[in-house]
Amino acid sequence: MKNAIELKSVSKRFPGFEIKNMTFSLPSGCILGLIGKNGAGKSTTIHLIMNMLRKDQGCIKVLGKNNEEHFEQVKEDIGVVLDEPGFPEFITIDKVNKIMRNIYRNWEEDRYYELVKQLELPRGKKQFKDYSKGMKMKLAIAVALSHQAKLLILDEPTSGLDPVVRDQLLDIFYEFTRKEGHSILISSHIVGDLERLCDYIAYIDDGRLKIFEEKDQLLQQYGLLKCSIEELQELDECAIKGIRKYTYGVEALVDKRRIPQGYQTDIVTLEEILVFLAKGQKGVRI
Amino acid sequence: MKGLLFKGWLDLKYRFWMFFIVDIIFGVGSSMMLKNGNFLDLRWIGFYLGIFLSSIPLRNMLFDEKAKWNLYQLVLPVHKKDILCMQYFIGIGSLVLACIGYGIGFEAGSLIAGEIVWNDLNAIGLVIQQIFFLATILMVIEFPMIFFLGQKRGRKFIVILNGCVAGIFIVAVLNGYTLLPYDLPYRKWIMAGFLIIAWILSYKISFQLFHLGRD
Repeated sequence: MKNAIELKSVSKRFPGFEIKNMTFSLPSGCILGLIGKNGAGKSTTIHLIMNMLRKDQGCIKVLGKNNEEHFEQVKEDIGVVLDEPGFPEFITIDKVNKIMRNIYRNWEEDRYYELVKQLELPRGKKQFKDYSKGMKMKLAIAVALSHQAKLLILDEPTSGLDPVVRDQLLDIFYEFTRKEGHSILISSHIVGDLERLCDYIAYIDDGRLKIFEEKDQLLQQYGLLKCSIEELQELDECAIKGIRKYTYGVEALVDKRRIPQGYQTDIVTLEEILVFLAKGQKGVRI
Repeated sequence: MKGLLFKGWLDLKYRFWMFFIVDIIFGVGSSMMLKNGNFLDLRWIGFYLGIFLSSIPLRNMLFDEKAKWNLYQLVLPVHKKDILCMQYFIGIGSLVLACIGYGIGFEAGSLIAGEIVWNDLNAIGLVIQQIFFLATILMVIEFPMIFFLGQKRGRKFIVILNGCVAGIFIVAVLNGYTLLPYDLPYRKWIMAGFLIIAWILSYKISFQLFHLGRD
């Protein structure tokens, strides 16, 4: 199988918001990071992929199969963590095991309890309603990793977790992709996590895919240029992706391929790319 | 499917156990009423419990919505018809448990009063028929309307529906009307057949609406 996820010209309209012509693919065995502002459409994209929302146009394939036909069988191989873990308030660790072993064909009880222990989740009678936000997320992740999934779809999985546990989980996710054919689609605001983990980055803004690129390519392609406004205005407008103005000059995110040689640019982080892209080109021409 | 049914059973056990305690209490109260009055007065008990219990499936959907389980279950490898079956299982299951609870309460009340009267079974049977009939009418309409109107408007519709059905029932009873005459041959079988057909039709309509899907 070539691609774990394929979206072609996917559109979905809501009152006041629209996902328009979303097209990207997650190659099998890779990790794709979805980044964007709050309300950009990351969770909506995930819901469309999982057929939780009916798309208006386009085609979505997951693990080689159309996501509208017999998708229940494909879901056996997908582990999903939504941005808000959705377990009933009375659920305990053991009850989750009883429910999931009767839902997933390949449920691994030993692996589940091993993850429960590793993530320090409370056994016994403590109910889901008494869990902290981090514990709720850890339970959802333990379930997603306990049924021999080939694809993980994670919507803000490290949100609310302390740095130690985040680090632990990133290692688990990384190990997951070491197996052949295992892929991850992860959406997160913690860009540092994506920078560490991902092979591909998709930047979504206002329902549209603005950038889809290999992470390393992205970091090489863009640079941070510090100059005066006059110097900036001499550059091709298409080369400038975002500006931050200071009293004595500007800082601009530039596409290094489109600026003349001789301009010195600094190395840029993924977080800076996101911030500058969100700011856009406001104020380039005075 | 088994996993969802187990989850449904847990919903009934943890979210609605108080409803069944209420049924037992009503059962005890009914046996006291029967000692002093006409067993047709128990229709009002059946009426109240029927309306009371018909709200369980909707309340459960609201709990699930609050817990975000309604979204999470869509990522599990289960067919939409299994998700719907679980909702109907909760509806029918709650009625069965309620009737068992009512019967236990009624006989317990009789024992407290110092006697078990074989006519108790007629009385329990009358109330159970009332509960099943009224709750079924309400639930088989409520389920498809929730999927058709959505949760928010569906809830408003249910309040109006309950009010209308309650009003019709009160007017009918006060004027001495019954849906089917008590001396009608095979009355119980006719009612049972009606209930089964109503549940099946309701499920089929709900499935079409759920499958077509409101976002």
